[in-house]
Amino acid sequence: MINFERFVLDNGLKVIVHQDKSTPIVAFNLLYDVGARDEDSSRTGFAHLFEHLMFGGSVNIADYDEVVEKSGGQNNAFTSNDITNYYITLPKDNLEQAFRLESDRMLNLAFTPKSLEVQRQVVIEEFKQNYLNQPYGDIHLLLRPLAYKHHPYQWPTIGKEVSHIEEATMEEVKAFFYKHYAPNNAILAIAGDVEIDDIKRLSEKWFAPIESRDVPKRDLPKEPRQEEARTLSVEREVPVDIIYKAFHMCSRIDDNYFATDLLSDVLSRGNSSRLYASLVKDKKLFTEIDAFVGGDLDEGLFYFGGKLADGVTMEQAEAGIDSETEKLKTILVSDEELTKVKNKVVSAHMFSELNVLNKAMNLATSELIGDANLVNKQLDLYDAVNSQQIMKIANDIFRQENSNTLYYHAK
Amino acid sequence: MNMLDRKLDLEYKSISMPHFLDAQNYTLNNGVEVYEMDGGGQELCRLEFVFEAGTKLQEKPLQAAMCNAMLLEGTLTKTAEEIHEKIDFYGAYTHLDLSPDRAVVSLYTLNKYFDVVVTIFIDAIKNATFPKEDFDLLIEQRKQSFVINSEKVDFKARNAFFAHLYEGHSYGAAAVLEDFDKINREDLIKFHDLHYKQAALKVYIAGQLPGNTQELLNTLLGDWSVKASNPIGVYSEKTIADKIHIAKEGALQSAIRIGCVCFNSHHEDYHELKYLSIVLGGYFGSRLMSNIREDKGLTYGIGAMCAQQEESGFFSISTEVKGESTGLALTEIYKELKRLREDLIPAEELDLVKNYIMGQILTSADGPFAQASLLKNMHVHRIGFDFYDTYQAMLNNLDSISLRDLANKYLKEEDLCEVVVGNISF
Repeated sequence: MINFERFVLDNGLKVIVHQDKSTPIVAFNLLYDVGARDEDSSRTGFAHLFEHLMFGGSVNIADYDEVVEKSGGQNNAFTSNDITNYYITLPKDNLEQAFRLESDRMLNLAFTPKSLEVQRQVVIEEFKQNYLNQPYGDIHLLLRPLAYKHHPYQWPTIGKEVSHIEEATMEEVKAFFYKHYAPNNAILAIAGDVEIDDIKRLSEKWFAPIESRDVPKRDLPKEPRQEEARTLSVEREVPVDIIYKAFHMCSRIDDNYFATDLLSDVLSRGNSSRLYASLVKDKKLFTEIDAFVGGDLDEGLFYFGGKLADGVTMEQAEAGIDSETEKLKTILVSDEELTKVKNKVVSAHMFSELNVLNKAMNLATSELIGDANLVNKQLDLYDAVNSQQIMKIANDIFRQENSNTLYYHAK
Repeated sequence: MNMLDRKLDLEYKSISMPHFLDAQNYTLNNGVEVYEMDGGGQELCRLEFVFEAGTKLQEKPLQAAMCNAMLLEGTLTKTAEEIHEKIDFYGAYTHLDLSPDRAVVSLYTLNKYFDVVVTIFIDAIKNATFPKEDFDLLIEQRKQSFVINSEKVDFKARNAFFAHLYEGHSYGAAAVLEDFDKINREDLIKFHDLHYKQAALKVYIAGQLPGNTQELLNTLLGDWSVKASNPIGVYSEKTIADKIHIAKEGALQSAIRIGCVCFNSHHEDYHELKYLSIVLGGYFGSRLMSNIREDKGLTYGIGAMCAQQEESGFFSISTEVKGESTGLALTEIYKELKRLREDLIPAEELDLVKNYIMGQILTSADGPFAQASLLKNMHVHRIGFDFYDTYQAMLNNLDSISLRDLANKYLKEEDLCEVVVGNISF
């Protein structure tokens, strides 16, 4: 159970505070409601490039990292298709430094041409390191546009191609900032040995002077229901064949999300899960196989991904996956198996609450979804799932005409 | 209300050592030492067994790793499926970890299922039989991963680097593809007999502890056959400063490793050298990151580290850089090393890194699990928690002149080995 208090500044900034007296470290997590889904299709990778630029100095503070380091803090950030999240953990005595730093970059960035030029290069190297110069690094570059024809989930956060990052201009960078980086488009969550009154005072002091901005209402094209199976076959200089099969599923916010997540757990959580027991150990079709949900805030994907065992064909491998989805469509998951995956969710949840940064992130994300208290309610929502629901969802999702299959062949 | 002056630096409060939990220590009937760290807001705990069963004790490649990886894959009375089914059912997690020096086998569990889960866990480790079918599967998995990793410039560079630094010592040994066909389950059984059934073992428990842990551990572990710790050698061969360049066709990036053999924390210069490695490349604002990433944009990341092993230690710089700029990156890395040797570290930077290190210690002491990990890491290097009583004073006493001397002693360009994998036409 995470107790918290919540308040909203006049400029629209939402603040969530959780007190944990057991630790000398405070987690300061600032989430902006902007991600790769908000990008222009000719300027993909922009939200992530922008995340890098946020470290290039703000209007009053030239060197962000130096202040964090002098404070004894650690910081980082990540961009997803849905959100951009910045966090600092630091000794509680230096907490105000985090308020100063984050409010200054919310106020305005320095926008130096040097920062743009350098971070553009850094992001291009990141693109190469993680997507192009790695075996299988381009899987999501291939799979997303196969599965999404209209919704901006069709590109990964790094972007569709390097050229979009190469061509970004300073004007576009500034426009992106004013459009999305605003107190009324952000959620601040703080967890640690803090007093609510201090957080209120510091929030008023540092964030309240920032005026709210005109953030356009998000209006993204909805991905139409897929009516025909799609496949893509590629050949690469890799040592082993891989197959990915992705089905459209509900969003993270949907009531069916929890049952869908448990469905993926039945298939693939832990060494006793179905895919491992059946397709790896018993039938020996794969050496490794996973099923997982993306957890996206718009309608997402339910993925299967596996490495084929030696001598196994793509057809055999895919038939193996299909046989497992077929079982879930026709046979109810037993009470024991359902209890097992629910127990695992409970313990994962408890372990995640050991750490203040996790707690702050979970509070911020839950607030974005609609209610910070979801962090506490979600265990009940998982617990309420029954086998009939899981079977119904399996039937909804695991239809061949809803599938997007990537055959990734070794040359 | 006063106007807020955002340009004005806020005062940086000094960071003091965190409060460490007291580790309770007791000995089981057979002499196995158990350390308990009680605390945390959740009714769960972590149990860790540290076995002296690292790769340095193996007779052939993959023996220690395969043995460790198969500890939970079946006994005479239970199949791997049955073991995992139970562990999963009770919401527990296991983690198997291996280094050249030791094997760490961990269990994360809810307190309410502690008894039943720990019983299964210990029985599995103690009575592992390494079933043939599971062995064959694991070998295929590992072989595939190895083949895939071998495509990565970073993997190749790391292996070449350690092979060179630790030529003739197990720290430098890495498996090659043929090794996967040479290992068999009898090798695992033998290793298990020698290093797990006859164990040099310590136990660490952290979290909100169930009341009966001592009694339960005595029942389950108290008759385990134990042996004395293995003797510890010292490896301090001078690094041969070769330049090893391996071409990889079509690589968009080059992996670089530069470094040398050093020593572990029992050496008087260890902590100062470690500090120097942090100045150079141990945090985001470090010199290498500032120069090669934040100024020139040649890489997504670059780091330097000074790491300790039981019998040795090493200093290492590692990065993956834009292929066509490999030469420039090397030049700049050496330039930064030269700067450490020739110029004094400015007072402000000296203080900044001290604060950074204190903040890191604070973070790594956040909660009972983190503190137990810290304690465990210190124990395995034969250091006590009292180390921290004097550490901050040592840190505060560091001065620029002795750091510069140290750079001249250990970080001379002609004493460092250089490995590049990728574009080598520079």
